[in-house]
Formats: sequence, C-alpha cells, structure tokens
Amino acid sequence: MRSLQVILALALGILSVITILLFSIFLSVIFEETLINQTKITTRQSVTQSSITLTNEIANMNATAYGILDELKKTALQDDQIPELLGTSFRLNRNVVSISLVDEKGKISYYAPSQYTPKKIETIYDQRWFQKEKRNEQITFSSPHVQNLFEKNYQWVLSVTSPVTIQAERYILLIDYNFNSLGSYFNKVTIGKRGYSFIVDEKNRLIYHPQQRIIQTNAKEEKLDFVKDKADGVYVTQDQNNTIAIATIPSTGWKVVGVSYLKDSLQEAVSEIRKNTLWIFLTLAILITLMSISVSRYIARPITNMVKVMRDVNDNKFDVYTHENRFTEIQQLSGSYNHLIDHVKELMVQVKEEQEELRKSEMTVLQAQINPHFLYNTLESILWMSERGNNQGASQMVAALGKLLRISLNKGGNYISISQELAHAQSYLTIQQIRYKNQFQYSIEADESILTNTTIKIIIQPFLENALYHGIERMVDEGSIAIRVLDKKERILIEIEDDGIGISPEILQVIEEGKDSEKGGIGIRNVHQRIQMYFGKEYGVGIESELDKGTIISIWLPKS
Amino acid sequence: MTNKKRRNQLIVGLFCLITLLVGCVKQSATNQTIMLILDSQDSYHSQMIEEGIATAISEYDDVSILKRVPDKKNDSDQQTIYLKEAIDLKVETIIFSAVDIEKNKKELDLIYKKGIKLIMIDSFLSDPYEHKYIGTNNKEAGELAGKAVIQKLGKKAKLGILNFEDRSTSGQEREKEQAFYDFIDQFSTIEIIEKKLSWSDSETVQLLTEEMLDKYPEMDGIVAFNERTTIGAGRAIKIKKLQDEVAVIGFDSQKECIELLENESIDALIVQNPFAIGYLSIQQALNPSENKKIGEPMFTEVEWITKKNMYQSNKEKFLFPFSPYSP
Repeated sequence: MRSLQVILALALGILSVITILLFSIFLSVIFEETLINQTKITTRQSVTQSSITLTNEIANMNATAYGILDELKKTALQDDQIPELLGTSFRLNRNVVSISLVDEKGKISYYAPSQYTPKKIETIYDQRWFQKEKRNEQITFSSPHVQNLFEKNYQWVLSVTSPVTIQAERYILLIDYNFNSLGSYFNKVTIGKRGYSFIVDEKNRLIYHPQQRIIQTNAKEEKLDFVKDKADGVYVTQDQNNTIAIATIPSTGWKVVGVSYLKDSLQEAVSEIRKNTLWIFLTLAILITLMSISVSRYIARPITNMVKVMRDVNDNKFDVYTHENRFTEIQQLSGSYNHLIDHVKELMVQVKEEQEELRKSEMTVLQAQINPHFLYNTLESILWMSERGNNQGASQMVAALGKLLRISLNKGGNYISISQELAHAQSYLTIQQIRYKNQFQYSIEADESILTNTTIKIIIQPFLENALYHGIERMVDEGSIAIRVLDKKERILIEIEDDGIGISPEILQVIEEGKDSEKGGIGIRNVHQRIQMYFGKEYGVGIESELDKGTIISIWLPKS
Repeated sequence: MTNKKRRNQLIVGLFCLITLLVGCVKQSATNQTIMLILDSQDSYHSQMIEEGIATAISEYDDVSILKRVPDKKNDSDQQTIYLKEAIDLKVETIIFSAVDIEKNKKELDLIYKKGIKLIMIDSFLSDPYEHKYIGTNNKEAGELAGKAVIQKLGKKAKLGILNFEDRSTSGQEREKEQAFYDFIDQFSTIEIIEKKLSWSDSETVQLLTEEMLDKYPEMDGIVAFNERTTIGAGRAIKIKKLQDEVAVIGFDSQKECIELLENESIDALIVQNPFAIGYLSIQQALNPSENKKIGEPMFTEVEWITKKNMYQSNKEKFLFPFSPYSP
C-alpha cells in the first residue's frame, strides 16, 4: 500500500512531464517545419538573386556584342580600322579575354588584344564548343571550354558568337569571356553555412559550379539528375539532406540551381535550442518536482491528519475530534466523523445504562422468582402437609418447586424455549393450586408448532402471580386462569386471561403509562422492558381489563 | 511515510540527472589536426595535391593542418622524423606521401598501434594494417605509357628510358616503370637500348637526352616517367627538331608539358589527377561516411592525352585544371 501523497506526487509529476514532452515534440515539429520552409525561402531568394545577376551579366554580354556588331556594320568602316575597334572594345570590357573576327574558312582574320599570337589552326568551326549559327546577328553562348586560339593561352572561357556581314564578307564575331569572372559572383553565394549555387545549360550540362574543379576531377558529384526536367521552384531531395531551388534565365535557357543543406541549418538550430532547452527543462523538472510534492502534501495533509486522529479511536479513545476544513469534502467528512463520534459516545452511555437496567431487571426477576415469602409459604405448606400425613401432596409440591427453581435458574442463561416457559408456569400454578386449595382452575393451550421457539425466561409467571393475588384471591367464587400460546404468523402471542375482579380504568391507565418508566407495577414493567430490550420495540406486553370480568395480558414475542 | 517520500524525491532527482546527461551528449566539437607529409614540394604533382587538400579543407571550419616537406628531394630519413613528430603531437590523422615506404615500417607500425588514422597517398602499402591508400593506379599508368608507345611506334621500336636515379626514386615512379616494362615485355620486337637516370632538374635531363639522341640516332622513342624528365626530353626534341623522328611519351601536365605537346615535341602525356588525390585524402580523413571499404585502395583516374584529344571535353578538364582563383 502506498500513501496518498506519494501517489499524488507521482501522478502529478508524470502527468506534467508527459505534458511537457508532448508539448516540446509538438513545438519541435512546428519548429522543424518552419525551419524547412525558411530554408526553402532563403534558397529560393538566393537563387532568384543569382538569376537576376546572371541575367544582367548576359544582358551586358549581349549589349557588348550588339555594340561591336553595330560598329562593324557601318558602311564607312575601313579594313584597317577593325583592329582598333576590337582593341577599344577589349579595353572597355574587363572580363573579355579576347575579341576576334573569324572568316568563313574558320581562320582568325582580326583579333584583340594585339599582343597575342594566334595558333596555326585549320578552322575553329570544328572546335567542340562551336555552334553553327542560323542567321545573322543571332547571338549564341557556348558552354565553357579552354580557349584554343592563341599560343600559350589556356584559359577557361565562355564564347559569345554571332555571324556578321562586313562589306559583303561573312565573318563570325567571337568574344571570349573569362569564365572565372563570370562565375565569381557564384563563388561568393552562400546559402546557410555550406549552401551554394551553380549553373546548368538547357541540356542540363554543368556550366559553372563554385566547386568546378572538384566536379571536373570527379572527386564529387553534383545532383544533376535531380535538376533535370524540373520546373522552376523549390524542392527537397529524397534523402531530406538538401533544399534545391531552380530558376531559369529566359535569354539562354540556363538554369541557376541553389543547393542548401537542410541538416546543417537544422542541426545548428537544434544544438542552439538544446543548449537552452536543457536548462529550461531542468528548471521545469525541479519546479515540477517541488510543486507536485507540495501540492500532494497540501491535498493529502487533512486526510493524513484525520487518519492520525482516527488511529486514536483504535486505542478506544473517543474524545478526539477533527476540525479539518481545507476542502468541502474533507469538511463534510470531518463533520460526519465528529457526529459519528458523538453518536458512538451517546450509544455507549446508552448501552451502559441499558446493561445496568438489564442487570437490575434480571435481579428483580430472580428476586421475584425466588420470592422469599413465596418460598416460605411453599415450604410451610410442604411442612404442613407432611405433618398432616399428606405425603402425596407434599411430594407433588416439592417436585413442582424443584422444577420451578431449575427453570428459573436455567444455569444462568436468559433464553429458554416456550415449552420450558410453560412448564415453569405450570409448576407455579401447581404449587399455588395446592396452597389455595383448589380455589381456582387453570388451563394451558399452545400451538404445537411454536413450542420450541425461544423466549426469555420468566415472562408468564409474574402475570400469574398478579392474577392470583390481585384478581382471584379476592373473589368469592372459584376463579380460573387460561394461558394460550398462539401462532400469529410472524409473531407469537401469549395470552394470560383470568376471570378475577379486574382492574379499574384509572389504575389500568397508571399501569399502562408506567409500563415504560421506572414507576408502575413491577411485574408488567419488568417483563415489558426486558422483552423490548432483547427483541425490540415492536414486541412487549399489553393489558386489557374490565372490572368484575377479568384481565387479559397479551405478550408479543418474535418467532425465532 | 518519510521513507517513501525520500524514495520519491530520489527518483525524480535521478530523472533530472539522466535528462541532463542525455542533453550533454553530442555537444563536443570535432577539432581535428591533420599532419600532411609530402615527398617534395616543387613538383607540379605535389603542388596539385596541396591545392586539392586546400580546397577540401576550405569546406570544413574546424580542421588545422600541419604541412611537413623535406628540404632535400626524396629524403626518407627526414620523413621518419616527421612521422615521429606526428606521433608525439598526437594528431588525429596523417596524410603521408612516402619516399620509401620500406624505411618507415617501424613508425607506421606505431601509428597503427596508437590508432592514428593514416592515409597513404601515391604509395601503396601492402600490409595487414587498415590504412587507406589514395593515389594513381601506377600499374595502369605504366601500362598506358606502354600502349601509347605501341600506338605511336608500332610493335617494332627502339626506346630510351628516362627516370630518376634508381636508389632515391620514389616508389610510385619505380612502380610505373615496372608496369611499363611488364607491358612492353609482351612485344619482343620492342627494344630498350638505353636507360638514363637523373635526380636533378630538367636542364640536366635535356642535356642527357641530347647526348643520348646523338649516341643512338636509330632511337624511335623516349619514355620519361616524371615531370622533370618529360620536360627535359621534350625540350631536347624541340631543340634538335626531331619531332617527326622521335616520339616522346611523358607523364604529368605542367604548362610546359602542354606547350611541348601542342608543338608536337611530346607525343603523348599520361596525366594523373593529383588534385583529386589531395581532395579525396581530406575527404577520407574527415568524412569517412562516404568511404569505400577500409584497406581497399582508392585509385584516381589516369588519362592518356595526345595533341588530338587534348581539347576534348573530358580531357581538357584534366589537362587544364580549373582554378576559380587564377586570373
């Protein structure tokens, strides 16, 4: 068995911890969701920013190309002016590696800067990166490649080409941009701690990557398959590691792809939170512990106190009351308990009194039974009969007296059967009949079925004595007494009827009233009270009488 | 009653403590120290390895690296001292490009026993230890040189061989050379008429080659097993204008090598990927989750490059390493 306080404290503690746990799980789920969304937004923003930058860059390249094309188309242009024109354009654009005009056979006709030495190349048209243009002044962007035009120059470039007709001669304008400076913006782009962005062309080939070299040397793979055929937007990779945002550059069909590491930002935030939550959780745990202990103590205290008080009752101390009024229920309980204690005390007094009374009654019964006068008279009668030689009478009387005394004493027990009670009455009547010299007749009738029923002893004899002394003795004629034991379904009725002089109504009233009190006739009161004490208030003795006609005593007993 | 209360409080207290301990796990930072021991510093190959390492390191912010290179070329005794230093410093990882692995067996044994992670680059250690090997597949590289000879000269040729001096040559070059001989041995008609050894610079090699070419005018081809000898041989051919008579098969991709390839003084270059070697060695040291099996050598690619294919997309990446920091 556990104490109420422990159970309360444990229940409260566990409940609070579970609540906090559930709440934190709920919070962390929401938090993670928010963080993922945040990462997505950041990635998308970064990619949008990059794509705008790249679009501008490409627009600049286009503008440069168109600017040169415009100059070249001028009809007044002389052949010897072309190198100067290219040289000026070269100096104005710092990301340009070289500007060249290639003739129809694929040989370099003009170039800038002038200090370069062109390689002896058959034709540039079969170089891998070169795309054949369809019409004049359509600008085409190549994929990145190593420039193969000038001696000792092996730079990575992005070639912008456009066919142009200069004075009826067809040329191709070739502007090579330093691939690095194009991508330098992308080198600086970071999304979160390790995120980056890269560019792929419309055929999903890598154009620029901040870790270009690592990818070129196959030391690392980029998720190009993931990007393939995906529309612009934000995606999360299947392994939940990366957020990937895609934005297309309208002019070239290139895609800017941003990659950020979801786990990085998650881990960072989580470790940050963990540092703080640890303390919050600890504080909470301590608070919960203290609170659940004190709350459980607060609740359990009145009960504990009451238990302490009641423990005294176990030691039979009844002078203890509780005055707990912390809660309504406890107050009621305490009130009821106090009431109970009061009642118990009352009952105890009552029981004590009743016991006293009973003892007194028993004594009275005994006294009444072994009435010295009756005994002397009986013994005198026996003596007298013996002297007169009436041995039969004497022996009859002695036998009856013996029987009477044996049943009266009944080895100290209070209960006897009705048949014994009747035998007792008969013994008494036998003795009295001899003494009164047959001055009265008597009869005893009983329903056979209830003879074994239990009753308390000596309830008939006192009324026989009353009938003889107060009723029949004073009569001139011969009297009669009838005893009837009747089965009244749930109860037993014993009627004692005499045809003596009766009782006047005034005296009858006094007797009736005195039945329950100390006053009144000893006989009826004694029997009535004893029956009620042993069997309850619904049983007892009733009396009916009429002057010159007789008296009927009714004794009601329970069936056992 | 009070006993029970105390027990209750004890349980709650324990619970708090457990929470505290659980919260503390996984908090420690992983600050790693790596010792990088190279065989030499001034070769293109080792420069590229260092670049690869630097690039990989830039992806981590809690790694410090200690670089140790002997002043003299191929000084294995100095490397032994560095290995001992690494053990004393209790570094987490050693990246080791050995001059002569046989001479460092004792230290490597100790490193294994101390539980220090050892990543061998360019030298393969056939031992029971669970070290990692990252580097060129020297056998493949040697065979590729052989194939290049066969393709260029056919199955009947007279060859000259250039390599560093035998005794102090680093193991990987010996391995390449051996693989080359093994391959050539299939063809009895291929004859090696001269072997020149030099441990010094390209100028010396050039002079040695010129001498050799004067001595053996019938020579069809020269195979050079490292950067310096390749450049030296190329220069000699260029000076003597023997581009059409003598084929040079060389190794590595320094800018001068490429220029010599473009003007046909060199006919084929066997190009390794030192940048990837450096990059992968750091990746293996710091991010072992992406590992292959321990003990299994990790080979980087070798490419056979000629003037014809040098601007092909997959070859130009090898030949002209892209560096975002160069102009």
